[in-house]
Amino acid sequence: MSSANAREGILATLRAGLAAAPLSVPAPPARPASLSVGPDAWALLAAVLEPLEVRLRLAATPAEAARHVADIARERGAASYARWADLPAAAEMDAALAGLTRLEPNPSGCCQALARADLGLTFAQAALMDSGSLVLVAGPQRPRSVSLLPPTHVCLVPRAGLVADVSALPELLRRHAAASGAFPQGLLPSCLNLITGPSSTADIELVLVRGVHGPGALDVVGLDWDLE
Amino acid sequence: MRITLMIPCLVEDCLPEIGLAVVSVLERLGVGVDHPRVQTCCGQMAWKTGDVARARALALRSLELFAGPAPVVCPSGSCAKMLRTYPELFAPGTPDHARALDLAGRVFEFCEFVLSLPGAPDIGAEWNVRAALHRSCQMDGSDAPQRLLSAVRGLTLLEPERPERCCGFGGLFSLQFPAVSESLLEDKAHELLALDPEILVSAEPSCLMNISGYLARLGRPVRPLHAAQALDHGLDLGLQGALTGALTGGPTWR
Amino acid sequence: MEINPRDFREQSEKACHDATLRAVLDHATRYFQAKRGAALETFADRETHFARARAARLAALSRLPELLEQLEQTATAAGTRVHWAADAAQAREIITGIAQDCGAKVVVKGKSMVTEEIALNPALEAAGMEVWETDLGEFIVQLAGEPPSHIIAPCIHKSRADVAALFRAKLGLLGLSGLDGLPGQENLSDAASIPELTLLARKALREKFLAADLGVTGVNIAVAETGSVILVENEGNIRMSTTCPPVHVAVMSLEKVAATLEDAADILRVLPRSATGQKMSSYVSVLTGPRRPNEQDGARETHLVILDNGRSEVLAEPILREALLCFRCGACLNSCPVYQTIGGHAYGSVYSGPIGALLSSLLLPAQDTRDLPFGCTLCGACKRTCPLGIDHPRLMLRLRERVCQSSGTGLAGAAHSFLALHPLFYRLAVGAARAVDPNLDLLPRLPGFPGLANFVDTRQPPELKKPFSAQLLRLRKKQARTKKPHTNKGDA
Repeated sequence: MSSANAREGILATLRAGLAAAPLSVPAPPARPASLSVGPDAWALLAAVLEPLEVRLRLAATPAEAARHVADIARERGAASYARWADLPAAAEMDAALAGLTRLEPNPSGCCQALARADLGLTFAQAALMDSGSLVLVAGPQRPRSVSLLPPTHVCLVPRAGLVADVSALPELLRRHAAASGAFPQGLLPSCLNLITGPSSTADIELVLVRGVHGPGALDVVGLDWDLE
Repeated sequence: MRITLMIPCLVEDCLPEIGLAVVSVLERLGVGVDHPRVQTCCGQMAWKTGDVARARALALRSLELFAGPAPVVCPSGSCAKMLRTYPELFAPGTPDHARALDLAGRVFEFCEFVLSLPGAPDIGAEWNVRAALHRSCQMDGSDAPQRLLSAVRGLTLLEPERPERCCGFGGLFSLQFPAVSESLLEDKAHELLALDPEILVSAEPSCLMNISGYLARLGRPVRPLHAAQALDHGLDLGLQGALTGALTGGPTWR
Repeated sequence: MEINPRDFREQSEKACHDATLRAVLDHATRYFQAKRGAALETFADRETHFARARAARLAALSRLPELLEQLEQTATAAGTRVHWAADAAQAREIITGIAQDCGAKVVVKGKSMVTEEIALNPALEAAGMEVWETDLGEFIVQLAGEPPSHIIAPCIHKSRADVAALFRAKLGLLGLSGLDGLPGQENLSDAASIPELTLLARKALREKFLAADLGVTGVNIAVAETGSVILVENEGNIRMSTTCPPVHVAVMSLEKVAATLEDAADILRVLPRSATGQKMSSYVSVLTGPRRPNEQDGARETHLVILDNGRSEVLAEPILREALLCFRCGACLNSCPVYQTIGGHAYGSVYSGPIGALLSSLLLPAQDTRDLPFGCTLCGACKRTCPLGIDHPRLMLRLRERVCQSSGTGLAGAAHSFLALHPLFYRLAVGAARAVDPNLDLLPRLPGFPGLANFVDTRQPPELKKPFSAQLLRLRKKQARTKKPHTNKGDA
């Protein structure tokens, strides 16, 4: 049987099943109200990140953000880094990390190149206060592997990106899709990652270990100013 | 008020003292009790083996026996649940389905029923005793036994570490998967014995039989009592105003 | 290891005599339940979130054919090639074909029940490929040549010493290099720490990720509206499998679709909390088509395989189709006293525990699964735990009905029902039994009552006493004489 025949067979069986025994769906209750994003949003985010062993550092200026990133690189013993190309305060970051080797992703062997980096520096479109999840949207200047292959991941989170929970995601994705006019209407970015704490496993004897395949360390720098 | 008493087959022939305690408690609380004869099996056994046709035939028998309008009270969570399941056995819209729905709406597990009476949960019972409660998964999460027993003056209600965990009986399950059943029972027995109880109480006769039979074989017997028996004895003591007195009644298991 | 649910009874009876296994299971299931309980305690409006997740799943089932067509269209528009597989063999053929077309030599896999279900690894290996499970637990059971034993913790049955021994024996086969800073796997001690073992696996598998030609994963949710697949994990291996190799194949069982992103979000609020007690899993990836022009990583070619394998037939069954709501959080396993006692392997199938007994019964040949719905005490712990409100015991009963229809209840069941329907014979039979064997020493041991002998070996049986109705009658007569308002004890 070909895949096309399978398709027709499967759909016909499903249709016949629903016709024989219709399935009605009771209206669900209204979605509970989300957390409100107020002046204490950074504190809420820090509190939810803390049990994940993720430290939030706040920066009031690009220079302060760059200093935080340099501190993190030093604390984690990083000798090399890779970063997304279009970061806020990118110039300040490079200056602050001048002592480290910057690895450039090359399209032919992006993962191979970035696997050698000690630290990956990215930027979150949003952060979910309910769970401490960082919302990263991949794109041409933003390889997925920067937040995945290096043992340390540092993520910049803008003040305007603080949202309540995952129910904010559809709206955010649609806005993103609408803005990317180059693609057919409604097409989402190729990859969106919610990142919540470091890579982890408890597969052996249920003992929690950070850093299995992804970064064992995650640091967040809050950009507490208005990005344009 | 009068109720119709539904007596599980296990109680009819093996644990009749449970039935008598039910009658005693209800009558002392001013409830008249009618017991239609001859009751056999509510169909639970057939239903749980997947024999729907026979379960339906037995359900029809129950529909005759327990034709309305009085409330039907049953000293077993699982049998009460079976009676509430009857509507599933008949096609909606048929007269039998309507009768099954009517019956399902009038069925009470014994503790639930007592709890609905005026004055409950404190029915004037009193017993200075350490009682381990087995909630029984067949009670569908009802907390009626806990609430009634907690209101017995002097009674220390003890619950095992995992109060809702199954004792491993499961009817047919205990016959088809004897080693697994026994493992669950072993867990349950140890959690109960850890409470160092004087009596073991449950509102489910089959669990009571399963657990107490195992404790007896272990050589660590704990007097098993249905909630109705515990309340009945508590009412005796409450009336006498005395906290002492030899235990009478209750199943004696060799 | 050849596994088959045919041997479920035998295997489960054996498993509960394994003290080590029982201790491990006890520890693991308590750990997961405690973690989950703590996560749910702080979850405001929990029941509302559960109801919304259930509604999202129900909505998907109620519109399954049209949503799958929509998914095909949107995924295709995003550049993903969509394939339909009627059964496991067809799915294997499709995926092996994709692997051969891209010249794959090394295949990395993210944890996925459905690829276990279709036995994909042996097919790819038979086609000459090297296939690596990359979830740590799955990697360990792969090295051991065993099936996973738990939906979310595949190797909970292995100790660190077991893992060290396994790595010592098997990691050399990977042809590893560059394990600098670590003891070589050949002199790895049994006392190696868990972080050391984890790091060793990380290094071993990192090389495989970078060398892989193809990544294969399952799908947690496929979004019909957008053509996206959503993958939920903690380790990062699924992100690696979809980021590094040039080709990604996602295999979904057809019920895993959600109509909209909103429905997917409602599911995501519940799934990690119920599965691992996390507010959100470490990584949730929403992937839509292959990498776009100018993007530097991510698969260049993406495939979505929509697998039926018996599910479409279930949709016509009003009671049983509830099993298709399941999103594999595994909470019912941890809550089930039987699973807690026998573990996953006894079920003889990828799917274990309450939901596993249901799914296997629905998806595998009937003659192999007839014992599964009976290996359950109907205690309802699963139902109380399930965030999607699946009524597992009700489904078990429906499956028992199917078994009964095909092979009857046996002589004992038929005799019991006959007597119960004929009260006179019933009373005569019980009366006779009471006369010959009031203490039930003999009757349970007669042939024809399978299991009863064992029952009375371990539990003292009750006695057959003077029936309640006779005692009540006598009491009523006494009451009539004395006008006593209430009864007292009868003669027990």
